[in-house]
This record gives sequence, structure tokens and C-alpha cells, in this order.
Amino acid sequence: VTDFVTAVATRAEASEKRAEAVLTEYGIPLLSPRAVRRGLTVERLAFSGTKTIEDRAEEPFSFERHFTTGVWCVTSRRNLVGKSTVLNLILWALRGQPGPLRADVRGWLDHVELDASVDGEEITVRFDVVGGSPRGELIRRSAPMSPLAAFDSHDSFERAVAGYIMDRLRLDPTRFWQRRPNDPEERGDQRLLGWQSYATALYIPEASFGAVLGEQTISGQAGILLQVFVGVPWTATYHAARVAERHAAQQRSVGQAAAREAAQARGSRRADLEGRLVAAQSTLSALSPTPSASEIDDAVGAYQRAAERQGALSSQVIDCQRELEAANILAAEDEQYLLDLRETLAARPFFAKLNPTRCPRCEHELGAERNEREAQTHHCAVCDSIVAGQEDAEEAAERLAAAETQHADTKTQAEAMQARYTALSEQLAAATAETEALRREVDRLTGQPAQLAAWQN
Amino acid sequence: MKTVRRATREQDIVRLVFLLDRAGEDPPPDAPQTAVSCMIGQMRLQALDFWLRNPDYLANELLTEYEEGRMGPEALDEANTILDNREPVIRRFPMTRWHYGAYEPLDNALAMLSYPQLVEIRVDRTAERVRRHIYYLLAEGRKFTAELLASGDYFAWYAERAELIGRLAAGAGGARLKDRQYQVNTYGAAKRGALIASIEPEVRARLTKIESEL
Repeated sequence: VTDFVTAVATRAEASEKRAEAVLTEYGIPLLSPRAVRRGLTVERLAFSGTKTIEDRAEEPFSFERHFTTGVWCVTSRRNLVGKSTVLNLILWALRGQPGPLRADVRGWLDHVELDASVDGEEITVRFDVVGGSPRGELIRRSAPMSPLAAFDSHDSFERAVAGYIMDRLRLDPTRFWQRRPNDPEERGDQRLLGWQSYATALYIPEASFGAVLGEQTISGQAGILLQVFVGVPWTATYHAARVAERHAAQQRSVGQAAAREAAQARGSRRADLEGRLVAAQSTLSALSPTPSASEIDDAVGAYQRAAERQGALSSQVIDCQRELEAANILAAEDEQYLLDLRETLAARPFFAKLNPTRCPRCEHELGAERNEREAQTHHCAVCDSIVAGQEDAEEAAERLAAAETQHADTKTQAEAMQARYTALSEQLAAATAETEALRREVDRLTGQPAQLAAWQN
Repeated sequence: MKTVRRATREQDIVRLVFLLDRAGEDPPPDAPQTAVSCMIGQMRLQALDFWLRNPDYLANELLTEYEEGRMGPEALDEANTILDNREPVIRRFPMTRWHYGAYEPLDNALAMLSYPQLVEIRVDRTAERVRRHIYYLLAEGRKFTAELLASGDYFAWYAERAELIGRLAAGAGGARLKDRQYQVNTYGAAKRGALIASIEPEVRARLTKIESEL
């Protein structure tokens, strides 16, 4: 222990106490166990079940083989007869997970048994396969013979065998660093290699699998497996230190990025506050000093006078509009009368010449004497009533002249009223605008709270 | 206005004689020998007289004719002239609405035209015993309108408007013309015995809208 901690302390230019504390904090093993031979030997494999393939007769099978010491080959003249199944069943029994065993083959199995020697201790793994799931036990056959664990699922099976074998072979999980796929900042995470991986250390998978050794193609993993298998000293410490280093570096860079972001946020917050300060100062300088009571009184007085003027003008405009309408009606009536008179007087001579030739009622011919009598006695040629004297041309001309004068007068009055209405409307518009401006001034002088709120907003 | 404006006897006669002269049809073979024009139906004569006495309704009808494609842009020109000349104010003689629409007895005015034989009025009795008035303008009547027109500027307006109304009414019977007049809300909604109100502001607004969409 002392040698490793001392070496670290020297290189880090720190005290041994500090070095030990840091190494312990990061979970780095301070010891390297001496490499010892650990044996794992498969001694017997037995399995049975029924091969069921659609449209073919069921085919019960049963296999048992004892393996004596030495190297064994599984061969056959034909393919697809179960060579891989034999190897995969050994792997399943030792790891607890079915791994590469084909799912349909797993469905055919009823029972599996494996005898093995783990660092000199004889064990048997035996289980039934029910609906593809294992249900069985791990038994120590060496004295004292005893059941070690029972399981009824893939996970409990794995825990049972991995726990026993890792303990028996004195193996610890190895830490390693796994990069996150496609991470632009090339971050990674700490991972553990345990029995699932160790068990495949000398398992050479099918070529299509991609990995030379083991089941995974993670960079560096095959090397770790070989180091563990061979028992290279300081393997665990080395990998734990590497992981701790990468983890610390990543934490540092995350911290730096966070610090950068925080600084940027502080900077923009500061700029924002400075901007608001400038705006607030300009608002403040735009505000006149607190108005005095007399200023407010003057403004309110001016506003009230303007409002009164506006009100007075408004009622004048309404009155004027009414008068204008009346004047227009009067002018129109006079114009109508003038027109009627002109047309009537113009038409009259033509009607005077229209002497009736027959009664419009009974259509009797009237005869010339009736017309003569009308001219002499002023009795109507048709109805015998007395005919009023016809208006003479002079009277008609006088009536026409009077109507023309009358029309000219009322027309002039209407036009004058129209001009007055236009002028008053313009004055009203100006007074309304002035009142509004003065009202805003009063609001500005007296409306401090509202402005303050707007400014704070 | 304190009292409803009434046309003088002379004005009534002038309106009717120009309507018969300019808005009539060619006389049929069985017409009086000197007939130059004829108009069939009192309802038709009343309907045409309504347009002559209410220039706002005439302008409105011109806009309808334009919108429904029976008249071209000249309808808008005529409507503009009517409104620009303030005819709806100056030339309006309001009419009372009776059961069958605007009606005013025309007998006296027609008598004034018939006894000097400017116009001949015949009453037609059909198999269904429906009475129908037929108004014929005689040659003397046309001579009379020509003399009126030659006497000065006062009567040209009647000739022009009567001709325009004749174009509007061409091919439609009196009942159909009344229907067209009823379609104007103000006319249709007027109570019996009440004056049919002016629609001048509506017509002005309608013309402005049509012209803005040109």
C-alpha cells in the first residue's frame, strides 16, 4: 500500500495523507491482489425438450455429455443441428442470461443442467425453462452439499450465478469510461464491467457480431477483459484511476462552462440594468420639477376655461345647424314656388288658346255660340259658372318678380347660414383640440403616480 | 314645409302630355285616325307619373337598371345629373300612397287635354269585364308639345325625363312597374294615406358606393 500511495504523493507533490484521501475518495483500489490461478471447468451439460416447428411433427430431444479434462470440439457434418446451442447453453448456465441463444430454441427447452468446478468447488446449475424463463437452483455438490441460491427469472438467475462465481474467483468489477455517442463535447460516463462481460472473455462470437472478444464493441473493452483474464497486476487500480481522471476533467469543463454561462448572464443582466438606469434618468430629466400648487391651479383654470368655451361653441354649432336646416327648407320652398310660377305662367298662354269643342263630361259638341257668350258675358262655355277675370300679363310679371326677389333673399340667407355653420364648426374643432391639450397638461402635472408606475414598468 | 306642395293645373297637364308624347308606344291599327302615340292602362300612366314627380325614385331605378345589367354606364350619368341638379328637392311633388300605390286623380288634367282633342281616351271592356283605359296622343297633342318646347327653356326638362322614363318602362305593364316601385323600402313601407317619403340620401349613398367599385 505504502509504495503506491507514496508514488502518487511524490508525483503529485502532495502529502501521503492527502494522496490517500483523494484516492480513497475516488474509490481507487490501493492494492493489487497477487495474480492467482482461478479455475473454471465445465464438466457436464445435459438438456432436453421438444423441437416444435410449424407443419412438422414434434421432435423430442435429449442431450447429455460429460467433459473430461482437455480441449473439446463441437463438430458436425451438417449445419443447423445445434452446435452453437451447446456452447450457448453453457454460457447461459454460467451467466444467468440467455445471451445469444436463439429465442425459438429457448422455447423448445424443458430442462437444462450444468456441472462445473469453480476454483475447485463442484457446483450444479439446473433449471426448467417455463415460457422461455428459467426457474431453478444453484447447488454446491462438494461437501457439505447444499443449495446456494434459487432463481425464477433471468435477473435473479444472473444475480445468483454472478454473485457466486465473482466471489469464488475473487473478481471485482472493473470501472471503465464510456463516451456518450454523438456528444459534441465528447462527454462520457463511468461504467462497470462485471461477470456478464468477464464470462465472455474467451468467447469468440459469430463473425457478424462485430466484436473480436466479448459481446460488445466498446473501445478498450477487449483489452480490459484480457487483462482481467490473465491477471495483469494493478489492472483495477489503473482503470479506476483513468475513469476518475476523465470524470474529474469532465466535471472541470462542465464547471468552466457553467461559470462562463453565469458570467455571461451576469454581464447581460448588468447591461440590462445599465440600460434601464439610462432610460430612467432620461425620463426623470424629462419630468419637470414637482409642479407648484399655483402651477396646477393655473393649468386647471386654463383647462376649465377652454372646456367652457368648447361647450358654448358646441351649443352654438347645434343651434346654427338647426337654423341652417330651416333656411335651406325656406330657400328650397321659394325655389319650388318660383319654378312652379315660371312653368305655369309659361304654359298658360297655350291653355288659353285651347277652346273646348265638346263637353268633357258628356262629349256633346259645344258649338261656336257658347264660346262667343263666354267672351261677352264671362259665363263659362262648359259649366256656365262666372269666369274670374284672367290675371293680366303685368300682374303676372309682378308676381314673378316678387317670387324671384324672395328666392334670391332666402337663397342668400341660406348661403350665409352655411358659411356661419362652417366657420363655427372649424372654431369648435380648434377649441376641442385646445381643451384636449390642456387636459393632458393637467394630467401631466397632477398624474405623478401614474407616470411613476409607467416608468417603473 | 307647412303644406304639401301641389302641382298647378298647368303643371299636371304638361307632365301628362309629355309622358304620352315621349313615353308612349306606337298606336295600334284600331287607334283613332290621328293618333301618334298610345299608352295602355291607367296604372301604367300613374306609375310613370310617379317617377316624373319623384326624381329620387327615378335615380334609384336607374341605379337598379345599371346593377342588373339592363342599362349601361349612361344610367349612372343620368342619375348623377338628377342629383347634381337637386331635382329631388326642386322638382319633387310628393304623392300619397293609396291601396294600389301612389295615386292621384288625373281626370281633370286629362279632361283639359281631351276636350280640345289633344288626347283621346277610350275605355276598353274585355271579356273578363276588366276596364282598361287607353290614352291616345293625337296629332294636335304632338303639335302642342312642340309649341311648348319652342316657347323657351321651361319644358325641355319634361321632354327629356319623359323619354328616359319611357326607356325604363319599355316592355313592362303597369302592374309590373308598380311592383318595381314597391320594392323600394320607403315606398313599400309607407302607410296608406301617408306621403311617400324622399329617399334622396339613400340614393346618393348608393351611387357613391357603385362608383367607388368601378
